[in-house]
Amino acid sequence: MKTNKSDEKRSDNLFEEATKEAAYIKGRHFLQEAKADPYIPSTEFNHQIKAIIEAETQTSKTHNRSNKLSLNFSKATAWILLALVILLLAIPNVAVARDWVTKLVIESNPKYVTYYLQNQNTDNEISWKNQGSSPPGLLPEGTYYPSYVPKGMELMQLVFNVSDVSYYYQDVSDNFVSIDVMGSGSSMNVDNENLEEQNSETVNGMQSTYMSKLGVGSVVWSDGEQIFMVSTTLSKEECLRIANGLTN
Amino acid sequence: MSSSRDHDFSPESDRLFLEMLYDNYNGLMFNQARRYFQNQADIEDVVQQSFVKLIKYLPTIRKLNRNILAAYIVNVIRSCSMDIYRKRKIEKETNFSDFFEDFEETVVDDFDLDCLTEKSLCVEQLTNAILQLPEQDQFVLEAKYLQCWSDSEIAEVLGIKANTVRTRLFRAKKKALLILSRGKNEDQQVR
Repeated sequence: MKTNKSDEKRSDNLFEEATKEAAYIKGRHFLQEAKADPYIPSTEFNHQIKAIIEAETQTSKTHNRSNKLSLNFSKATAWILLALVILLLAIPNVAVARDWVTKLVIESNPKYVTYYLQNQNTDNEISWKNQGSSPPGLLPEGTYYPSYVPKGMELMQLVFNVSDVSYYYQDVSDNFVSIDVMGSGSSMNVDNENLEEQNSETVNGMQSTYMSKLGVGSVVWSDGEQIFMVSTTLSKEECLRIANGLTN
Repeated sequence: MSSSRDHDFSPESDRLFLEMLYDNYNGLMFNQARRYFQNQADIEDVVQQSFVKLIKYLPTIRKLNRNILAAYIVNVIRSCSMDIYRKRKIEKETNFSDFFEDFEETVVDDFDLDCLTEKSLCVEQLTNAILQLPEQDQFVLEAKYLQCWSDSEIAEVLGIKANTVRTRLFRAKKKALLILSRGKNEDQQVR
């Protein structure tokens, strides 16, 4: 082959033009042939073809309608997706979402809501269980919580309503720490019969009473508005340390 | 292949055009289908399949004038007939036997296409040469330049490989040029 690109292009154009010209001549001939030898298709066949035409053009109509529908559907889907993305960004994980919803419920119905958390000793343990942290976003601002809890203690139960909160911790040796904070107007019954030990102690600068009976030591005090009680099977020192660590 | 929906005509306009197409060309379609089949059911099958195929080419065939559209329809009838034959595994000794024949030996392989650059070559002469080509060669040229099918589409219709389509196309052109050059030689001898 000695042709170059432009020759090939020219060849192509020539053949295209000539082929169409030949097709024109042949087409005229075919039509003359058909005219000379007419054929009348059956009525049934004509109906079949009309049905095909109808179906095809009907499909085009519905296609246009479905295009509009799908456009609207796409818009709605886009909005839903956008909302989900925003939601997912605002609430990074399910636990935080749970706390957020719970707090919302508590704050919107403070008089009627009691929040009750029970540790089932599963993997979904309450993460706030040791000293040095407040209930993260869980309880309203100002709620008392222990800033110190001995190592190994895990929060097993937390009960909260608008004026009262109580915490119950336990370790693997079945030692426990129970903390109760009661709001104004509350009263507390203390079993002070046959006490093994009873004396006055200072907790957070306030006068308190420490009592011990049957291996459980308790310290009770009040700031004038609330009553506090810490009970534990641990030593008196630990009991007082936990009591001193109570903060809000 | 373009779809019937790839254009801006309304469904109503499509319907009217397709009805016109069938009303005006059904005689031609049946006439051509009868070249390949004798059985009435087969003939109707071919016409129906061809019509469905034509709907797919609606954007293209809308632009064609009456005679070229007729040639286009004939080619579609032919390709559908071949398809039906192939599906039924009818042997090559049918009406298409010549189509599958190896005609390559009839062409001189070292024929020089450079003559295309000659200014004396005009469309009219080439048209006449194409009209003298065997039907199968005309079909390949029309599939390429009239139907605007891709090589793979033509290959599918003919039941051959795409590379073979290119070979057949090239040789159909060479055959046309051979006819042309023979005609010129004869003219010179007469003079």
